[in-house]
Amino acid sequence: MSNKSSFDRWIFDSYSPTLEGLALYRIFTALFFLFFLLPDFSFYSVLANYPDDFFAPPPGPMALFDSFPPELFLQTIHIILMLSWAAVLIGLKTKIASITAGLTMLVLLGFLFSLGKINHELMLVIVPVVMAFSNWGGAYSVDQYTGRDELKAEGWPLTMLALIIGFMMFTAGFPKILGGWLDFSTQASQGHLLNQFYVRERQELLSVFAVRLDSAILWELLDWATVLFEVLFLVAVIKSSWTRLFVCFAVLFHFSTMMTMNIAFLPNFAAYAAFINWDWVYKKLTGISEKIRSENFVILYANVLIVIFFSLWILGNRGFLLSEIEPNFYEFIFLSAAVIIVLLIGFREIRNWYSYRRIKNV
Amino acid sequence: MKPNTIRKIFIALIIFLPVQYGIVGIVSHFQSEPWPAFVFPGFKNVFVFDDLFVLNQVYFEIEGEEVEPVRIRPRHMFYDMPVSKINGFMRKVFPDQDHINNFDSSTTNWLYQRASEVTQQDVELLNIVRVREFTRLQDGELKTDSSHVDQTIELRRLAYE
Repeated sequence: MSNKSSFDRWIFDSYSPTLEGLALYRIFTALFFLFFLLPDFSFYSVLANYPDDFFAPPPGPMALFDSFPPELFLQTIHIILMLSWAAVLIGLKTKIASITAGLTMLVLLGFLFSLGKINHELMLVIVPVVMAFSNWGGAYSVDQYTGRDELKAEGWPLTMLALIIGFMMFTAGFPKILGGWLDFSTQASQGHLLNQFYVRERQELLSVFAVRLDSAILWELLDWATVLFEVLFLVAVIKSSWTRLFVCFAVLFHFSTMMTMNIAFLPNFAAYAAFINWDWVYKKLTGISEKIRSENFVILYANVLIVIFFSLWILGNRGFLLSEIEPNFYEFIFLSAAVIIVLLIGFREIRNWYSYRRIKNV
Repeated sequence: MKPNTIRKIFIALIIFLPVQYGIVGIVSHFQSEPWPAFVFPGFKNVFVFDDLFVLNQVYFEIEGEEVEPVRIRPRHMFYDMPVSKINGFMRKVFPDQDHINNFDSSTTNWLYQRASEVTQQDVELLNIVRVREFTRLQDGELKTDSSHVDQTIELRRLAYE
């Protein structure tokens, strides 16, 4: 019998990733960042040309500066960021590259948020820094072939990521309780929707339909569901199965927010993807044929992702079907794909539960 | 990393997260939200007042020599800025008249030039107008019940005074 405390079991045993599964997640995340999550390179020249009076840093380290730095400085940081993610992709000095990717993103976001608006995209920093310690560069990587020591897959960074997401979700839910979201006389979700639609002109997808939906009961239910989901996420980090359930809720939440308020919040999906059972994906992928070496499957997987991401990136930035601003085509596709995955998982779980009940009854 | 070190990191994080949230709350109250911080947006407002929905509109009001004053939204004025940043930018950079009065003349000139570029006319006067609209949904349409100008900020072109 294990003599570990429950605290230790929570930290070390909640997740048991494999190096192979982590490698698939690493490749996915690196490409996801390189194609979709890096800041717009052209915006640095815009920023550098704005008057200094537009420099409005938030309290914190950025307040040490007087104005936006020169364009060349931001571009250099951006290039280091790109190179870091490229190194993570191929697994070259993965730990250092992951931490560098996080820190350079932190610097860039600091300046981008010095226009008076914080976009709460800290997951772009947290994901690479925390996952650096999972040894996600331990397989299918340059490190694997050049490293002296064999690396072991670590599960505790996933527990830490879950804790941070859970806490940050709580910070989204708690002010809503104080602000009156649970008051039956206010339909806050509807109020936000109307402001997004009429003030910010976010009028894509199902927003027109949602604006016309005048049911106080439905909107109040959404208010409660939002607050409960955000606050209880922190409780859900106690168990990995609960965390995964709440990640599924998060996907549905972001999808509905995108469809109605046109806010996709793609950066969070890099973090949510960490909770996919990548080991299961790896086994399915390499189980297709025993004749093909697993390395070749992983190379194929990376190339397929590159083709898909590149196509989506082109279409999204050319304003295919939707505007090239938020939400654009690739955001719509990613969130829709995530919802389909969640529904399939849900369907499988219900089917398993039903089969279990039947066997039990027999 | 040794298990004991990891355990200590977790304990430190469990203590740090609520403490930093408390600091975020205090700093936000007196200044604005600090960064970096482990927080997601709260969207505390309910935008409801006495059974009416409140819309907080912000416009640039532009007056030319030969044309009627026109109102344009900040997202059209700052077409090169991500939409998600505009509201916060307007709040923080153009909060009140006192703040605007301290603008450098190059900033005011930049704004006049941008307004001129966007409206394709010579701009004589540039104001920022904050309007609070009280609305209600009726038969699927949003009807304005009442509205009032909350704040008008005059952007004076200092170089020409």
